[in-house]
Amino acid sequence: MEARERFETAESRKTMVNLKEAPTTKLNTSSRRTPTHPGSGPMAATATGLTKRYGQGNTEVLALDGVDIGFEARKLTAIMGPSGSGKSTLLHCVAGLDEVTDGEVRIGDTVISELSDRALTLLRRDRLGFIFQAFNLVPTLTAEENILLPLLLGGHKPDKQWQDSVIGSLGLGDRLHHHPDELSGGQQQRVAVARALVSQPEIIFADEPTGNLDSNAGGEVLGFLRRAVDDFDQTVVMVTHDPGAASYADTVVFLRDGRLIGALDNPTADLVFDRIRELEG
Amino acid sequence: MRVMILLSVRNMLRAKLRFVMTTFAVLLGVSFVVASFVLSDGLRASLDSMIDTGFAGTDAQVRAESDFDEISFTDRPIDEALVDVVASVEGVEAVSPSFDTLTVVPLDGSGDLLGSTTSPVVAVSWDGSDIGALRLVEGTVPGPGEFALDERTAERENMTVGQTYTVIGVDGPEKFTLVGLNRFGEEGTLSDFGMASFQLDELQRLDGSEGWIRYIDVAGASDVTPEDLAARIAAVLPSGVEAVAHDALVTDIQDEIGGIIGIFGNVLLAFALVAVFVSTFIIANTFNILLGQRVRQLSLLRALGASSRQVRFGAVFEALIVGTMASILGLAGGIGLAFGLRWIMDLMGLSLPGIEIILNARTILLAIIVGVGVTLVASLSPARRAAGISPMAGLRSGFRFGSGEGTRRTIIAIILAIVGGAGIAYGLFGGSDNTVLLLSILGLGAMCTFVAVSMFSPLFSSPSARFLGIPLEHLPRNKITGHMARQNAAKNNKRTASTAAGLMIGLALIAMASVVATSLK
Repeated sequence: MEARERFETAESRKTMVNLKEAPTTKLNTSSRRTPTHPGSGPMAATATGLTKRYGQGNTEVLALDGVDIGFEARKLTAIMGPSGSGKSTLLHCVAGLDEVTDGEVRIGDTVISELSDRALTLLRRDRLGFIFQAFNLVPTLTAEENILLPLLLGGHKPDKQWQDSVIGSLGLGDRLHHHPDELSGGQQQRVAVARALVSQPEIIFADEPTGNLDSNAGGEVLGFLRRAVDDFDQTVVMVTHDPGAASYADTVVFLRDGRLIGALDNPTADLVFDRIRELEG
Repeated sequence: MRVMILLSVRNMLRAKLRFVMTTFAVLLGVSFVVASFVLSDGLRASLDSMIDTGFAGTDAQVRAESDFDEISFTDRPIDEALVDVVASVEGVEAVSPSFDTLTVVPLDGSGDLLGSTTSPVVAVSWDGSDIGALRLVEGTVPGPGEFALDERTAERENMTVGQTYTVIGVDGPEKFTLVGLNRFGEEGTLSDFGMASFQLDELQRLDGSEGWIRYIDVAGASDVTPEDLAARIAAVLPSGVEAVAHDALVTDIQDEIGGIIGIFGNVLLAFALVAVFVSTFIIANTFNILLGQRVRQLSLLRALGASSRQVRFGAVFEALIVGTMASILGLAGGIGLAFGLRWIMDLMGLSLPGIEIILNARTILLAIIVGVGVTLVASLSPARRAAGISPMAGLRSGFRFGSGEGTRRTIIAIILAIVGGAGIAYGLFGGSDNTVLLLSILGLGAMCTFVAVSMFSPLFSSPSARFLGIPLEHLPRNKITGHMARQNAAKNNKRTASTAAGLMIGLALIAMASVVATSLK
């Protein structure tokens, strides 16, 4: 709870400065899509004083500058910001993909910023799910093998019933034995979503999941992420630069120059767009 | 680990051609190793059986004692009077005195000397008895004024039974009638040595060696062991002449011939070592390229939860498959190569018609050790690099696989160059009588230099690409493409160097082969 309080304090300070006429200024208060979880739910992941620095001396870049943030469980949170704002870096650091320069990252009760490479690998394998923008699938494996990859890597037996319901709901039943190059971009991303869902992870991290898709296919994938939260009680954290994609989220957080500069609950595309204009103006 | 095995297999199936090429590099090295062992084993077995045939009826042999160091084609002659002395020894059933010489040579139908430097014709005495190895196949055993030839020489030189030919002896040319054809043992001679057979008296006269013989082959009674027989004969012999029992005789000759086979085998083995060494290079290079192409896939695996160990295992497993395939195919290739080499030697006149193709368990084991071992060693460094790929590698742009380590690489290359240079210098000019040692040091030095040169090559590739690319920029219609080609080759110096490495190795091999071939002439 301590981290959560610090997060709120830091956040409200920033929102007061930055957001003059925001419709909702507090994070994680309510969600119109998941009324069963009113108010502040438990945090699936938190970051405290998260700092990420690349390079040294003259070439030093401060990608994240003391970010405090929490991602609520069983919610879809979108991270937005202009390019170079550090939104992808934030996702990579919280997901245990990239090393943290300073600060603390927790997944559930585990402080992952202290874990060894091996422990971090196992954590990603057993407790997290990933969807990337491109090159999501192993080209030499079939769709089904790709979906089961994290389980296979851990030597775990898939839960057949769950696997079937995930594959069924994503409409991939007749594509299981195809290779990625035989699938459309949207189908490939659906396979990635299935892969992220099938191990029933604590959090699914999605890095620009619709960045390479046309709006139809993108909408489909976003719909599935939404359903993963609503129907399957999953937690999703998604980086996007598209206000339309962000509107599928329960909460949108805004990043600029490595700092958290605002948040928006129950967003619509228009609200997100307005907020971006404000923040940039 | 099962999923990594699945992945490795799928990756190999997907890049079949590259997989085949990688396998082929190892296969060549294994083939050379296998061929060198198969051929020397076969040669040894064939010679052993020839020796057995040659001395099948001989329980003991009387001959001049030879100095240990003396290497001569023929033993010194002994007094013919010893024949009667030996014959009177208790237990001796039959004696067969024999003489041979290189100074008595028949001429063929057109008046040319029979035989050549690679296949000389030896004149031997022959009485048609069962003790020697020669068996009559056509005509009769020669008497006075007659001679016989081995069937292969007769066939090759187009000489027929019944015809008269000139034979050159110490007193000049004489006419002799070819009356018979014979054969060494049941299967014929192993080497290209031709044999012209004469009656003992005639041969002694032609050679000017009346009263001298070279050997007395002795057949003993059935109740005497060859060793006892030899001992009994030795008791009556004068000093300077010895009696050798069958087994000792065979061992003696096998040892002598074994040395020759050893040299033959070592030459092949040297080629095999070079091939293995080169293939190690090629494989390491190919694995690096393969893994470089797979950086994104590997980093995706790492992101999804594959441990470094799993990634390394995948790379090593792939090497294991390549090595195993290469060993099996290399074994087959080596046997094929042995057949091919035998055929080529046949064409070159170094005929070994009786040579068997023998595959020992030891050869199979070696093929596997070399094939799998070389591939595994070559894969270690690429596998280590692959294991070190971070999950972020594929997510960040501009990641380059295997860059860095520039200074360390240069230092290692310099050390290797110095060691290699010193090794070559010592091997060429060093003051040691041990030829094998000098050659080994020379070889090791050359290997070190080779590695050093290939490690240095990225340093040279940029300037040479810039220089060699100059004409490209002056092509009338392709200035821009030429410019881009030149810049690309110069910019990524490591890629240029490793691509050129394959050609470099090939050229080095061709240069080596032609130097060796020219030197042999």
